[in-house]
Amino acid sequence: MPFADDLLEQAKHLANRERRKPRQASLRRAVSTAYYALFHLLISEATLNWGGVGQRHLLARLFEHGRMRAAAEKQRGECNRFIHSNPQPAPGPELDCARHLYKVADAFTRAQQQRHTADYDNATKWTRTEAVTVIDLVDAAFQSWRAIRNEPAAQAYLISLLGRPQG
Amino acid sequence: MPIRFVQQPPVEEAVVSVQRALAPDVVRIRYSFDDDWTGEPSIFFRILLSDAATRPGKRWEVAQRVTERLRDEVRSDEYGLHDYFNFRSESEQAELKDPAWA
Repeated sequence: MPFADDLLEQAKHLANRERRKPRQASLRRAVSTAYYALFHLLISEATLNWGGVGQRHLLARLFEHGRMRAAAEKQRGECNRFIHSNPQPAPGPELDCARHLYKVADAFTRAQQQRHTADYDNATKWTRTEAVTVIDLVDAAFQSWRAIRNEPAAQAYLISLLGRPQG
Repeated sequence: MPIRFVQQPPVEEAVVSVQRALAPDVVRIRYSFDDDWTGEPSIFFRILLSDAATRPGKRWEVAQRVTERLRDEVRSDEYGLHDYFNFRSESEQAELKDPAWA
């Protein structure tokens, strides 16, 4: 199973590890792991396009949380404008792709914020419902990504995750 | 209140409307304004769901519906605000007695 899928499975395991009284450590790690599942899914998909298999791990290290967040924000905005444009876009593959890509970019932004709270904010108490809804969000993003991963718009999004283009 | 949050969407009316429309799955909605981790002005929604609404199989559908409805009604992006959504069950809140969710 690919690393990103393993992480998502691990997040689910952690969120449900204690049957009755979930430990804060389990819930916080579950939320953080769910974010990292999506983070690594996108990076692994991006680096798959690099022909030199032996260098893919080096390319993977160039991706940064902040730049990926900025790219997700931009993508989300573009998809949102297209989906809600007037006149309404015709039903079809382009609209479907925009909806899926919106879900991926939106989930990335939201999960990243939750991960930041889970990793660094000791004052916040987590509940199981809070943790599993973050995992649900990432799970849905995985499904959306798999529906569109070969679409040109999805591939362009992967490139944008590296940073701000010049010009 | 920080000056960057002066321009706020009419959240209260929207929240009441969503709460009413999605009852009994949604028990109540609270919110606050703050910066997110990147320093961007944001609105953080805290949505208390009935225990029945948080069961596996229903939870994601309810969370999606609440998120979409709140986004449609609050339109926080038009005010330059990021939005974030946290969900808890009634029984979890009864145990935690968290004033921010009361």
